[in-house]
Amino acid sequence: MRGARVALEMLKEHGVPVVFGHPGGAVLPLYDDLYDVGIRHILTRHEQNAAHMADGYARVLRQPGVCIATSGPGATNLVTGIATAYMDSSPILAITGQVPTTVMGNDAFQEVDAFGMMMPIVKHNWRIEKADEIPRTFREAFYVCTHGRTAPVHIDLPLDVQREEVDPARIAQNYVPRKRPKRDLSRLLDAIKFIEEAESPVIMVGGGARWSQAGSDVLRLAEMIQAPVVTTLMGKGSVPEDHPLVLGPVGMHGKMVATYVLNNCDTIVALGTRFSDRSTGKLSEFGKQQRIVHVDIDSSEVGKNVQHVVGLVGDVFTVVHALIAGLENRALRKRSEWTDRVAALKQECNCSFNYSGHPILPQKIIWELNRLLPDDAIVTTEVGRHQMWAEHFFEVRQKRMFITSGGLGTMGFGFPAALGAKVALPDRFVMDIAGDGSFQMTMKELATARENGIHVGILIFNDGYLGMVQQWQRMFYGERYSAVSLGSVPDFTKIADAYGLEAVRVERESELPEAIVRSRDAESTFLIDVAIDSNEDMLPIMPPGKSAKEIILGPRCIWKGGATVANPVPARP
Amino acid sequence: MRRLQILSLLVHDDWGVMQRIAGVFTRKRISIDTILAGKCERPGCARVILASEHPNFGKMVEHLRRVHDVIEVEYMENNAEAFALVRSPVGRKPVTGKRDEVDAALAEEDGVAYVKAYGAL
Repeated sequence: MRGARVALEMLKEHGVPVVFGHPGGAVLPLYDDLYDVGIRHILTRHEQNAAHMADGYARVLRQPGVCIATSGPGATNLVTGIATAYMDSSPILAITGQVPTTVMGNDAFQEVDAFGMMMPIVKHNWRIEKADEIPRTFREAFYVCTHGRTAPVHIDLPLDVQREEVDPARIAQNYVPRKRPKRDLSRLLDAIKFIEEAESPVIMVGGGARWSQAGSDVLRLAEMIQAPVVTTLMGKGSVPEDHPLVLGPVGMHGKMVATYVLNNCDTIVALGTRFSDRSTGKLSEFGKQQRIVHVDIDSSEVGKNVQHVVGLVGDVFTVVHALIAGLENRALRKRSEWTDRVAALKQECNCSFNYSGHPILPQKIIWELNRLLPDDAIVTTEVGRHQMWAEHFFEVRQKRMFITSGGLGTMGFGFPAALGAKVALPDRFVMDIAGDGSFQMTMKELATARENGIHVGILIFNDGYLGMVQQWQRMFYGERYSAVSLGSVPDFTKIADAYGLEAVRVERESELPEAIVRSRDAESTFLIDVAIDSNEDMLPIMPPGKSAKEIILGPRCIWKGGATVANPVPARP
Repeated sequence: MRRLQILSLLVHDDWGVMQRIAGVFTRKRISIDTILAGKCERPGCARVILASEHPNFGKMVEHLRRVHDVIEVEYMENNAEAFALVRSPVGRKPVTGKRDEVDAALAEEDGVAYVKAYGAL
């Protein structure tokens, strides 16, 4: 068997039913053998979106998604998608073609140092020099990307290696991992002591809880120690948000009650979060009065952003169970004072955001989505204000999922990720919440959706602006708007029409429910273009580089809050 | 006196290992003062000795362990100005101290293989 075939057999061995990719000169043997092996291939219109689709696929199934691109421009186009996956710890396997080893390093046609280029944005990558290396390398790649902290891996496969015959003995050879993830629970007793002594504990949940599927275990711990649960952007959806102890998202655009509680507790149990500046605000102000138990699968994250923590290294599922086991037989103190206070505060943050207005207010759209989307809907978002409205207001309950580009903030991520998610779980309704700026970055994938019969809903918050940037220029740069107006082009309904897809434009809120129901029940990809008020800001906001003390509240916010936010800056009238 | 911090790494002898290791320090804005690298007693492996005076140099241990090709990392905190790693019949042995002391220790271990780094390199 030649190298290309063996590579695809390795994918099959690891249960990969589908790959996303774009062919080219340096992956021709691979695509030739793709004919015979019975792996579904989804042809994207741009390599970046192949990586995003693999990413969306991986986030839904928690199994590696595979994307293929050719050498040179194919590899460079993959970079954004892989970096996105890297920042959000999503396991994808990227395969790039490469010029033959005989001309490598000679600036051959479509040659780029993909191996060196990918290094900083993958967990590990390999350049295969001999076809005999293919079985071991692929097995290792799958092992590396799914064990320990999940992350993208990359394999650079030169053209002549793809053609070379592989020794059958090497295919039969077992793979023995050369490096195993380490756990370090040596400070478990300290952590248990901290939790026991806490008067007012809080559990902060990050993306790690989602990757180890530990939502119900986290809730069990929360109920046990009577601690409210706040989620970061990546952690949103790991715990069902209709649970009384779950307060919702924290961070730059988080809920006031979550931010307040996180800053006024005495012990933070941080599960699978890396304390991103977007979650914590000014890092030097964060966690100064709190004892912090930091649980992360990656030992280098412990003490990286927030120092003086009790670090437990291991996946959230294991560590939470260790904590539960350690706390189980102890007489846990009643924290009724704290829980009552949190419950009262939660009421204060429990506004009805069913605002009506003309043009439509974005909160209203999310309100309708909360109501009309099924309880197992998968929602993806692009990046911008619409993403933050979705984070703040969308309720991820029951089996719903929320997929977003958190770490890298890649505009254009949502639509291809929605397609990948739909490929992974064809029975679920997938909706991409998009902004008009973001959607234009990857809207060429409408062709992929159409050609492959992948049916997702797209809802565009169309205000004709790069809204987030516009808001920042308004708030922090004295209303000097620079290059943020997108105008009224294109007409998204005509774009959809050009790709043979249905679309509807919504300008009145009375038309909104019908449009959402139509997209939910549609037999093809359905686009809803909603005209929204471009003057509506995403508030509250914790200004960048500032702490929770300087949060700016929205004009309709009903929060009357506590000490940390005693003097919130009044919003623009 | 100059404070020499040393990291000793056992790595897989593979393409791009130095690039990966250097990348860790580049991202953290740490300049490496001394790099020594070469094949070592374990087949397929290499040893890399890095030295720097940057205050955060020692905190890089966990970040280096994350690199897939890195098998083990040892941090040697000392105020010595020189460092040597000697391969003796009983195993590897680090020697630290003043420049003259390290030189003297190496002279004693006549004929063994060693790597040596001075803070003033």
